[in-house]
Parts: sequence; C-alpha cells; structure tokens
Amino acid sequence: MAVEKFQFEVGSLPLSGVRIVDLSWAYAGPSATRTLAELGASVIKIESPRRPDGARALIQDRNESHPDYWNRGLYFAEKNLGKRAMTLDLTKSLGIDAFLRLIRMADVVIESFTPRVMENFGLGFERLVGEQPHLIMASLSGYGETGPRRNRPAYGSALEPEAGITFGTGYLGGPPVKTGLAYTDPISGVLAAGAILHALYEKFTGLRDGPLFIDLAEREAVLPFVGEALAEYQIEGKLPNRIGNRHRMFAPQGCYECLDDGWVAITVRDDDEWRILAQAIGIDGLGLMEMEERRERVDEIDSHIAEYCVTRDRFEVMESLQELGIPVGAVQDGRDLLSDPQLNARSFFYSVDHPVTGERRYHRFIGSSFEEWSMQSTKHAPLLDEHTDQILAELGYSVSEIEEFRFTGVSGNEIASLGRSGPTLDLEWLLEQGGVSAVDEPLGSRIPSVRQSGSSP
Amino acid sequence: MPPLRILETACGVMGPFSGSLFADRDADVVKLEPPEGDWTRNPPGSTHAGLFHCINRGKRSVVIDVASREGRAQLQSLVAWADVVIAGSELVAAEITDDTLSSWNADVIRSWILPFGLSGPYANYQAESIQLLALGGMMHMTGDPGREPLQLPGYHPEYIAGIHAFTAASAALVARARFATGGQRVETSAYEAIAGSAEMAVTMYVATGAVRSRFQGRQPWGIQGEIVPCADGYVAVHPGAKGELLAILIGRPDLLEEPLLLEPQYRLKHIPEFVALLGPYLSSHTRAEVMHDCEELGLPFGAVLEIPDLLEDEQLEARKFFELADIDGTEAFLPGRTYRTSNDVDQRPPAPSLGEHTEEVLAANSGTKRVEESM
Repeated sequence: MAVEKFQFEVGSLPLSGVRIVDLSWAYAGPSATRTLAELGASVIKIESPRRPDGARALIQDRNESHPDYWNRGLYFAEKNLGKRAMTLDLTKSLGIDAFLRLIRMADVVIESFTPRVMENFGLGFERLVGEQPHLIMASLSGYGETGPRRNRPAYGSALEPEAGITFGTGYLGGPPVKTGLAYTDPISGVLAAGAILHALYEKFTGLRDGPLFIDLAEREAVLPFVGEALAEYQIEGKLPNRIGNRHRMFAPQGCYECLDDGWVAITVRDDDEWRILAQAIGIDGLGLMEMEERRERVDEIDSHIAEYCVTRDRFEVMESLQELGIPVGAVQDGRDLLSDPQLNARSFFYSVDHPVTGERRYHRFIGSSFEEWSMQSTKHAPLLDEHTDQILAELGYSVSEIEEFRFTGVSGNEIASLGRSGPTLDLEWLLEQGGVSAVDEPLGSRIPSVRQSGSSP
Repeated sequence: MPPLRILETACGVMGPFSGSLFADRDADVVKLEPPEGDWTRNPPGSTHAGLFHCINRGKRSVVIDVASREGRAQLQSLVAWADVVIAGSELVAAEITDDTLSSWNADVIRSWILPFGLSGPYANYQAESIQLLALGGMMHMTGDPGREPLQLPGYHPEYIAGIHAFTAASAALVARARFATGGQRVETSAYEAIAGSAEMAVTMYVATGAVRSRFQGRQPWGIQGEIVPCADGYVAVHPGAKGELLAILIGRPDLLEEPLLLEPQYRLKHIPEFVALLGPYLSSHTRAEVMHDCEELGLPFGAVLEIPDLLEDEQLEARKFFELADIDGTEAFLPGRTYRTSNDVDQRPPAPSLGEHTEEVLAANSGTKRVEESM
C-alpha cells in the first residue's frame, strides 16, 4: 500500500483523520482512547441507552447529588476527554446497522467486554473485517481472548492479586496488601494505545497489509513486573518475602515520618551515599559501615534516620538530601501533586471547560511529552447521548430515520426516566476512617499555586 | 520492507523494557552494552541474570565503549542507522545530548526515558523505584491508615515508564510516516508515568476537595478487591455491579435483599460484618473453588496468586504465555509478550549473550553513510 505523505500543518497531530470506534468502558479502554484522542484521533464512544458507562456515576462533582448525575462524574470526565459519544443498542438490528456503518469508516475499533460478548452481538473480529478489510481491532480483557478462563469477568483491582503482585506486597511480617488502585487499568490503557499506534504505523508504512487483531489481557500486561521473582523461584527456589519498604539489595531503605504527618522515602545505594547521609544527619561515627553491616543493623540505622526526619518538613528533607545526591522522595498525595513544581514545569496539568460542571483541572495520563505537539485535550468529556444525532446524520441516516432510532429505543437515555439521583460519598466518615486524609473546599475552576521550595504547600 | 530499527542505548529496566516491547513486534532491536554488560546481567545482591532475561528477548547485543573515540564513532553510525534511539541516563552521563543525536540523524526519534525527564527543577534528582512511587502519589494510597505508606517492591515505575515510552515513540513514528516530519525528541518521565496512573488521586481532590489516602486496598467509593482469607490463601473479594450474586455464591438465597451485599456504600461502612457474612463460605473453599464459583456466576473476584501458582496457572498455560529461557544453564519460564496480535509468531528468540552480535552489526553498518553525508 502506497503511503501518502501529507504536509505537516501547524496544529495537525499524528492521528489527525484517524477514526476510532470505542465500545470500551470503565478505566483501561477509555484511558487508551483518551490518549489516542489527544494525539488527534476522532474517537466515537458508544454506550448502551440502558446501561451507559458505569464510571459516569463515580465521584460526583462537588460530591453533590443531582438528577443528571451521569454528566457530573469526574471519574468518567477525566477518562473521556476529547471524545464524542453516542448511544446504540447493539442487541437490536437498527443498532447493528449503524454500528456496521461506523466500522466501514473506521480505522480502529476497541472494546473491553468479557470475550463472549462481541460474539454474542454477532460482531466478532471476522464479521467486522468482512465490513472493513483493513480494520485494527483491540480487545481488552482480564485474562485474554483464548483459553479456558477467558470468560472470567475482571476489574483492574482484582487482577493485581491475580498477577502475583499483591502476594509480595505488604508490611514486614504482615498479610498481602493490595494497592488502593485499579492498578492494572491505566497501565493496560497506555499499553493498548501503544499497541494501536504500532499497528497504525505498520499500516501507514505498508509494513502490514490487511487487518490486525490485538488481544490484550490485563493480567499478562503486568506479569513482566514479577518476572524477576519468577526467575528467582525457578533458579534458587526462593519466594519473595514481604519486605515493607526495604530494598532487596540496598540498605538502608525506608519510609520515615516527618513533621505534620508527612513522610519521605530514602534509599542508600552504596557506601559513598551512606557516608554522606551519615554526616548530613549527624551520625558520622557510623558512616564507614559497609552494605552488609548496614543490612544487619538496619533497625538501629532506621531509628537514627527517623530521629532526623521527625523534626523536619518532608520537602526540606528531600531537597537538602537530594542536593547531596541521595535518592529521597517526599510522599505526595493528590493535593500535593497539583502544586508540584516539577509537574507544573512540564505541563502535566491543564484545564478544560465542561458544559455542566464548568472548568476543571485534569492531568496527563501518559508520562511522555513531545517536541512537536502537546498532549492536552481541549474538548470536554461527552455528555451521555450528546452526539448521537450528529453522528447518525454523518452516517447517512435521514431525519426521520434518526427519529426511528429514538422511537424504538435503539438510541436515547433510558436511565433518565428512572429518577435516580447522583451517588455521593460520606466524606466525614471516610476522613474518620482514614480513607481520605483531608477534606478541603472543592477546587472548582481554581488553579492551585505551585509549591515553593523548602516547604509544604 | 526492512523491519523497524531500534537502537537501545539505555541499561537497566526502563529503557530495555521499552525496547523489548518493540522486539515483541519483530523490530530489529540493537542493544548497546558497555564492556561490563547491562547491570541487569549481574544485579548487585543477586546471583543470577534472571532480570536481564526477562526484558531482553529478541534483541541483538553490541558492546561499545562510548567513552572511547572509536566507540563514539560506532555509536554515531548506529544512530544514523536507527529509526528510534532509546536514550537514558547513560547518554546523559556521556554528555551526548539530544542535539548531538539529532545532528547525527535528523530523522531519528529520540526516545528519552528518565526518572524525571530532561527538564524542570527535579531533572537532576536521584530516584529509585520507591521515590517515584512516593512522589507520584501511589504510596500515599497503599497500606493501612495510621501506618506508614507502602511501596510495591521491585521495579514497577520502571516497567510502567517503559510502556509509556513505547507508546510515545510509536506516536512519533506514526507522525513521521504520515507527515514526513522527520525525527523529534520524545521524553518519558517515570515520575509523570506514576502520577498519571495514580487512580483519582488528583481528580478526586479537584472534584470533591477530599484527599485519597491508604485504606487497606479499598477505594473510597467501595470495596473492589478486599483481601480476605479462604481455605488455602487469600482472595480479593469484588462484588462487581451485581451484589445479589454474592448471596447465591455463599449459598444464602435468604439474603438476596441484604443491604450488606447490595449497597456499595453501606458495605464499605460495615466491612467486618460483610466479611463475617462471607466467612463460612470462604473458609471452607479453596482459591480455585472460589474462582470457579465466581466465574459461573459472573463475579469479578481475584485470587491472591503466589509465584508457583502462576507457573501452574491453566489459563496462562493454555495461552502459552511463558517462554523458556536458559539462564546460565538453568531453565526457567519467564513472562512472554505483554499483548499479542493475529500476526505474531509463537515465541520470541532468547535474550542475547553479551556482545553476541557486535561483529555482525558493526560490519554491516560500517558502510552506512551518516545522514548528513548522504543529504
């Protein structure tokens, strides 16, 4: 296939003109398509009129309950910037008809149902390739599209234990600990974006002619993270211990409390760093200990470091010891991140307006930035059903045909008629229990100031 | 069509993992190593090269001493050959700048992967994995309330940064192929990769003013993977969207309307009672039995798998996920591709020995004109 090289115009992005049909929901898939939208792709998100993306209800703006809650969830908003959205019922033939029209015009389709679902709709890869012979289809699942356990339902937070990560995480001598995150989702999302970009690269250069199916199992995507432990077990018969915040090789390493419930993580990687740290914290006499001895006397060493930290601000500790070349990082929460000088210097945050909630601050999902363009969406996350009529018209349906979509319930918003209100969180209770560590006035459209060096924000 | 050419100049985990994602796609990945080899061949405190074998399959190894004049010239000709250069702290230390790379090849994508990126007030900060987890917001959300924040042991931020760098370099390649934009600098910061993956740390604060904190693996909006003991270990209890299925799972159809099972916020506030309700079922069933029942019902539980469990996992085995490696005479099954496609061949070639391809690569490349000479 010959490649047409377009003139690069100011404002054009790598995926300008690339069309993506997005059936994915929740976290992993939507974060992939948000990344692709930021790279210029035109993304159409398809939701069921009866069961729209469940993320729409999570984390209501200002923690207020409103009847149009599906347009006020910030969990959804941050993952769907830059897309358009339509509703289609894929169990009805009119819905299938519109979906196939979309596929004929699409470069990519992405979905994150359990593997049987697309086949149940009659919309498996082979059927879709019959409509669009150059289609790239990305299927995200917990356990993969093949194999006896393919139809296990899965969410990111239960796949972290399934990937062997949780078993090795925990306090010294304690039970396994899971992160408080849907850990595998954002990782799989950025990987899925990479898989699709690579497939598009092959298409545009002619490295590949024809369709491609991408099978991304979220568990397999993070299994390399325990690769070393797998090797260790097979070579030496050793299983990973739960080591708290210590390091397998370096000593000392730990997390130490500072002033005002702040914490820092400190690592000493070699004897030179230890000599420098010992001097800086006033225990010069211990500065000549070598790694082996430091490992043996780590509790004693920890108490000296703890004594140094506990009277100081975490950022003061970080900055003064980093000045000496020692790896020290302050433990930051979400509020700290918004004020962080490094992230703000590197355009990590930006504000986007929203027709219902107003302007809000968002952050990049990808840790990468480019010389030639910025990764900042300018379009708000779509309202439920926002672009249905517009997209149906683009697909060639007449005004009366579009009315038929609504009349037969193939498109529309059926949850509006249920009269529910938005789910809110009991923040006071969470504060009491430790699930949240502070509750401030919501930021609204305000932009927090950047932290000055030497102090907490 | 010749395959995509990747020159991997970075050692360790971040750069090489990003290179391995290209090798997974049959790119020609030339891995530069210093005369003593990538440190993952012999990690301090470890007795084996397992880590190296995990992240360097399907690459060619070339030994170059970039500190020498000859080595620098060889590096220059390899940069001229490459579509993408993966660059890390090794090039920074050798004072080979981004401008130098682009002067050697105007069309090359320079994929820098560093803890904090090339610019900003933290650009020269030192970091191991734990500092990136701490600064990036993940540690604050891992562990128990009232206790210290907890790390994920190993190299998680490095692997995540490697994935982000693969995605970013692929975006730059697409732009170059479509728009003839030539090369460009792409920077991946492991810190930003972690901050970008710390679920709702920033956005929950923006939305509600509440600061997410460590909550024993719970999310403030509900229990999604509570770690609970069962007959032979632990399972992650995840009620999904249909809490009433829990009543069927535990054989208590009388509890189909029990708010503990049905209402996420109520459940969150009564965790001991909720766990006690599941207790008799869980303590009399193994992880495999629980997962079997959950699959039948459509409940998204997970088992807390241990390392030997993974090697015997029937799903991973059916998918031929693991690949055999010969690590200095010991055979071990190591993780395979992070994703697969309908075009993949079955297995990737093993990781190269140190300098295995030095002669072959340098000889083939000696006649290559540098880009500025051929222009």
